[in-house]
Amino acid sequence: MTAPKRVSRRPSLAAPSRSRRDVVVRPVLEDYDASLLDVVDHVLTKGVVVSGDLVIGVAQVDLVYLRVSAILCAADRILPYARPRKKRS
Amino acid sequence: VTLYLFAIVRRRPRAPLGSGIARRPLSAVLAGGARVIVEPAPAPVPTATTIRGHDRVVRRIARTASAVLPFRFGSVVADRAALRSLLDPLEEAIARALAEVDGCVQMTMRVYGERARAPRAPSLGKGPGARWLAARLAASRAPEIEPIVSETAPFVRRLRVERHDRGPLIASVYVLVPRAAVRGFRAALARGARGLSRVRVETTGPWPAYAFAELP
Repeated sequence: MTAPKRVSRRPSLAAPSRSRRDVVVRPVLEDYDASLLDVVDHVLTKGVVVSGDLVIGVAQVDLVYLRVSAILCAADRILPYARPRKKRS
Repeated sequence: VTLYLFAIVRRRPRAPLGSGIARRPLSAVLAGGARVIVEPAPAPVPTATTIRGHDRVVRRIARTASAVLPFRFGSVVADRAALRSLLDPLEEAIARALAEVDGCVQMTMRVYGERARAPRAPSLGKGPGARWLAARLAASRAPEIEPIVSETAPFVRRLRVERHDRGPLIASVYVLVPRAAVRGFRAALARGARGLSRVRVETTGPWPAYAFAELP
């Protein structure tokens, strides 16, 4: 049996190294290629939070919140099998 | 079966809701004087796929409703009754939050580079309370991108700054922009960016208003 191939392409989640322009605007509401970091930051650390005994099932995520807020750059370590989305041509 | 929560909207969207992360049909539950878009499913394990899936569903909802308050990833309640007892007491806050984001999208700016020196606190006094206030004030500002903040101000309904103490990312700046003003915002952003020094700004968006979806 052959071992499954490791995913070698990792999404670039550290500070991007784009330097040609100071500002890069990416339209993302309709069809987007936001980095996984951006999606993680918005989806895991923002949004309506409901709390109380009636809420179940969020405990597992708390650890991720902590790490994301602490480092905000290494979601590829939190999510080891993350694959980058294909960019729009 | 538990309910996984995606977003709060004012009324049931007219377009079909489609399915959620677990590929089960979404429905709109009346709670807190609004409708909550839910999927009959457990909380998904947080992976790149499910996190993107949450965002994708919220975006789909945002295309059919002018005011959307996304839930944070992983929010699950036991049933409809639990959802109502959670949100019914927050009815006024929900209405206010929906009114604020109505017709708007969020643009997110990441500011990389050199931190500006902390500005001297204006005459707030010298006590611990004044120092705390001054620190709060400094933390809520992004002097590094002042040219952008002032250029884009006419297109921004609300601005929220989160400063980061360490690393090359010095601040995340979230702005609420009316959908019709996105083009104007972008042009103003480009103008403001010409006045930047020692920092670089990366902007993404439009996003659903994640950073403005907070209930007290």
